[in-house]
Amino acid sequence: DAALKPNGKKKKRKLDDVDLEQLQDEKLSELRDEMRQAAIADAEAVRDGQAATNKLKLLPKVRDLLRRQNLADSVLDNNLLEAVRMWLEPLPDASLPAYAIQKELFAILESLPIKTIHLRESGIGKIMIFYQRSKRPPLAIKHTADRLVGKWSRPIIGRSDNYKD
Amino acid sequence: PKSTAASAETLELAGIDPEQLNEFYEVFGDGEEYAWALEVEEDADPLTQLGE
Repeated sequence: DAALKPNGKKKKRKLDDVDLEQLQDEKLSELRDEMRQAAIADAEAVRDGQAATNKLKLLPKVRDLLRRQNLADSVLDNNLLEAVRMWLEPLPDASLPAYAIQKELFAILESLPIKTIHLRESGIGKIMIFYQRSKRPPLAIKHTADRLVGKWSRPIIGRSDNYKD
Repeated sequence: PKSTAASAETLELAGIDPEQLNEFYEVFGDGEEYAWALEVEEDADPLTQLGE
């Protein structure tokens, strides 16, 4: 019995880890769907001449989950970046999302260990080019877009982080 | 497309191989994705300037 106990405990703990991971994935997958729906609802509201508030309402939950360092890999694996891209896109009347949304999501993007595969899956690089080119985002946001494009393009063009030019 | 095209041109001049260049376009686009929103912005600029 004594010999079996530690094994039994170990097996139980391992199962708990798997369960926890699955729960995290489910939670993030739900959040991704909520973010998509909020982006679509805001676009529809703007088309109908109404205030777009769905993304702003969901922002505290997005902030809470996407800022957790221990969830960073799951955030990327579950392609939350696609939803982030949708949130940063210009609305049908070409207006930009609220500054609170821009500020929060750009900070999150800077904190995540994003690789080229995540950029391909999400299209987030394309929206960064938009923020670089648009005259409307605040300067701090434009500077962050510059930094992110530089950081994300280095592995593609084969330059090291120390490359200066 | 100007900015991305300019970036791609810079990469070509810097001797970046076509495969890398394709990947760059794949990730960052060709600058057309949100061109409609930039056009609206450019059209609105003269009015903004008049307002000021």
